Amino acid sequence: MGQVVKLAGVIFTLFLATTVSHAMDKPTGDVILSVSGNIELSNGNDGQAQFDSNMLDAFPAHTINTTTPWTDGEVTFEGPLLRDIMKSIGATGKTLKAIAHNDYSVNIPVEDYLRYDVIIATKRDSKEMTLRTKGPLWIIYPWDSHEELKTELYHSRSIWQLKALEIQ
Amino acid sequence: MLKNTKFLYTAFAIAFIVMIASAYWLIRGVVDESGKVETFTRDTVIGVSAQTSQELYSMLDTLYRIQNNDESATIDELNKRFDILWSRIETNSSGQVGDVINRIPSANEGMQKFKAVLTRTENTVVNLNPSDREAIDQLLAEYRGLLPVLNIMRQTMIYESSRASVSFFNRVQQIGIWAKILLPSMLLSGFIVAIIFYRDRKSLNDLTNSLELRVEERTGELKQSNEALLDEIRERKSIEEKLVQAQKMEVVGQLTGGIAHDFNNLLAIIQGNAELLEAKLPEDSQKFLKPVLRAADRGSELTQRLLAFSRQQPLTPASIDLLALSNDMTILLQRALGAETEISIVVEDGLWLAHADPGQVENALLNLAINADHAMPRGGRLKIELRNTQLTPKDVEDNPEASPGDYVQLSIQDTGVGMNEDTLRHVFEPFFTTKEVGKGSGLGLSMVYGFVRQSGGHIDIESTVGVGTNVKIFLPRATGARQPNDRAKLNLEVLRGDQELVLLIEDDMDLLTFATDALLSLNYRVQQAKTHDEARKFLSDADRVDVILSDVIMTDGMIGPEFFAEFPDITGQAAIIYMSGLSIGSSKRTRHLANHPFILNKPFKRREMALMLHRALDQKSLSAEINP
Repeated sequence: MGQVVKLAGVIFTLFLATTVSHAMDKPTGDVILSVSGNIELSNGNDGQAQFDSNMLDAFPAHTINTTTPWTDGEVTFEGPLLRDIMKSIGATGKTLKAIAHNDYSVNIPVEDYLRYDVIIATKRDSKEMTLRTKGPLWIIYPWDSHEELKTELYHSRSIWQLKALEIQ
Repeated sequence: MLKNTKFLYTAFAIAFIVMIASAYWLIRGVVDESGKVETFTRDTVIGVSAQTSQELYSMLDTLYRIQNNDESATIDELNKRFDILWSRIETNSSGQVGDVINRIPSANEGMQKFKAVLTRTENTVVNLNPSDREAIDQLLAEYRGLLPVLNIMRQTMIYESSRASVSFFNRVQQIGIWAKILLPSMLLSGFIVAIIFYRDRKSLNDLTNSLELRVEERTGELKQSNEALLDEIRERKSIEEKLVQAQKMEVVGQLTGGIAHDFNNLLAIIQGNAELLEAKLPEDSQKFLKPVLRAADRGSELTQRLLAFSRQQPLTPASIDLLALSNDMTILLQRALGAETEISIVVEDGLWLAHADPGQVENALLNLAINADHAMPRGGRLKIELRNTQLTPKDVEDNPEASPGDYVQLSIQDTGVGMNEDTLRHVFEPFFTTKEVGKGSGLGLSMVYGFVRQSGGHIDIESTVGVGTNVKIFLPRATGARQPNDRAKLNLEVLRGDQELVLLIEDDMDLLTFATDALLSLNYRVQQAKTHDEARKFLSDADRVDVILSDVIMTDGMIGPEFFAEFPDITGQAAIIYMSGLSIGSSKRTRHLANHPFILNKPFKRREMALMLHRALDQKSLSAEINP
C-alpha cells in the first residue's frame, strides 16, 4: 500500500517538475530536513521547505573522503551540496542556523558553503545513516582537502543528526 | 693556532646543532600540546561529554513525561532519544575524541557503564508499554544512575582539558624563556664565528704577505751573495788563467831561447862549413850548396825572432818620445795599410818619455799595424792611443806579469774581425797564427811580447769578435833626464827620399812587403821584382833607375853582381845596395862583394835602410859630379 502511495508521489512529483518549473515538490516520504527563514520556495506549513530522502537524493551527489575527529580512519561521505539545496529554494541570508535531533544547534555562515564544497551527507561509506550512526543527515566539510578547515571552529559546525536549517 | 681554530669551529658547530635541535624540540612540543588542547576544547571532548549529559537529561525527561501520562510524550520520541544516546557509544569511542576518553581511565570506565546500561535497557525501551509502570521506573532508575557517571566524566574532561591547557601554556612560557636564551646565543655564536673567520682570513693573509716578503728578501740576499760568489770565482779563475798563461809564456820563452841559442850555434857550424865547402867544390856542384846556405840564412833570421820572443835579443833602450815615433811611423803605416784604413793618433797632454829600444818599438808598432790590417780586409779605423798610466799594486793584482809603477801606455786599436777567447789565450805563443799557411810566421806578436817584457813592461790584449782588437803596450816611464832623442826623428826627416825610383829585388815576400812599405814611407818610388826574370823584364825597358836594392842570392841561384852585369847601362848609373842574410865575404862567390860599400845586413831596420839609401844616393851624386 505504502509502495503504491510512494509511486504515486513520484509520478506526481515528475508531473509538477515538468509543468510548474518553479513550484516545489511536496515530500512523499518522511520529512528528514526542514528549511525555514528567508526562502523563496516552500512546500510545507509556516513557509517551510521540507525534504524527504528522495528529494535530497535528486540533487547531484557529491562525495568527500576525509578523516574527522569523531571517526576512525578515512571515511567516505556522500550527499548533496548544501549550496545546491539552498539555491534550489532561493535561500538568501548570511547565516544558517542548523538544529539537530539531539537539540545541538550551531550557526553556519553562508560564506562557508559558497566557498567550500560543504555537503549534507546522507550516506557514510555507502550506507544510509540512522540516528544511532549520527544520521540521518550530517553536515560535512572537506577537511582533508582544505587543511585550514581543521580547526575547532569548523569542527563545531559539522553538525550531525541534523533535522532543520534556518536561514537568516 | 690552526689547531685552536679547528677546535673552536668544532665547538661552535656542535653548539649550533644543539641549539637548532633544542629549538625544533621546543616548537614541536608546542605544536603537540596545541593539538591536545584542541582535542580537549569544549566543542570536542568537553562538548562531547556535556552533550552526552544533555542527551541523557532529554531521555530522562521523556521517560518522566511518559510516567506522568503526558500526551506529548510518545514511545517514538523515547526511541529517538534512545537512538541518540546510542550514537554516543560510537561517537565517544572513535577518532581523536575516543582516543582521549580511552586514555583517561575514569572516563573510559564511565563510558563502559554508559554502554552497559544502554545495552541492558535496549529491549525494554524498544518494546515499552506506556502503562508498564514497573518497566518505566526501572528505566528511570537505570538512566538516573548514569547521571553521576557522566558528571564525573565531564569533570574529568574539564580537568584534563585544563591540565592540557596549563601544560601548553607552560610549554609556551618555556619556549619564551628558551627563545630568550637561544636566540641571543645563536646570534652571538654566529657573530663569534664571523669574527673567527675574519681574523683567521686576515692573519692568514698577513702570514702569506710576510712570508712572501721574507722569501723575496731572502731570494734577493741569496742572489746578491751568489753574484758576489760568482764574481769572485770568475776573478779567481781569470787570475789563475793569467798566471798559468804567464808561467806558460815564461817556460816557452826559456825553451825557445835555449833552442834558439843552440840552433844558432848549429847554424854557425853549418854556414861556416858550407862556405868552406863552396870554395872547394867544383863549379857545377856548387848549385847544391846554395840551398844549404839559403836555409842557414833563413834559420838565423828565425833564431833572431825567437830570441826576441825569449827576451834575449840585444836591446839598446833609450828615453823615447812615443808621440814623435808614432807620428813618424804613421806615414809608413798609411802606405802599408792602404787608403781604406784611417789612422788616428790620440795623445794625452804631457806624455811621459818611455824607456825602450826605439827600433824595437817601431817594429812592434809595424807588426801590430800589419796584424790590424789583416783583421780589416775591407779597411777600417786604426787608432793609436798614448797615455800616462800609473799602476798601483791593486791595479796589477790580477795580472801576474805586471808590476806597479809609472808606464807610458801605447795602445793600437782596430775595428777588425776580432778574436775569440780561445785565440786570445794563445795569441802570444810563438808559431801560433790564425793566418793561412805561408802568410804569417806566427812570430810577430811573440816578438812584440818578448820585447815588451824584456823592456820591463807588459802587454795586454782585449778583443771582441766582430768589434775589434785593442793591444795595449805598457812601457816603463824613463827615469833619467830627457835625452837628445830627436836625433832619430831628425835623421828620418833628413833621410827621406825625393821620389827617386828604387828597384827592389827580393824573393822573400815578407821582406819584399816590408822594404816596399819602408821605401814608400821614406818618399821613394818602388818597383818590385820577386825574381830575376821580373827584374830583367823591367830593366830591359827602363830608362833610368836611381837605386837598386837587391838580395845577394836569389832563388834561381844567380847572385846580384852577375845579374847586374847584364845591364851595364842602367846599373852603371844606379846606386846598388845589397841586402844580405849572410856575412858578406864568407863564401868564395860573395867574397868580392866584401868591398861593396852598401850592404844591408838582414834583418835591418827602417832607419838603417833609410840611412843606407841616403848614403848610396849621396855617393852616386858625388861620383856623378866627379865623373859627369
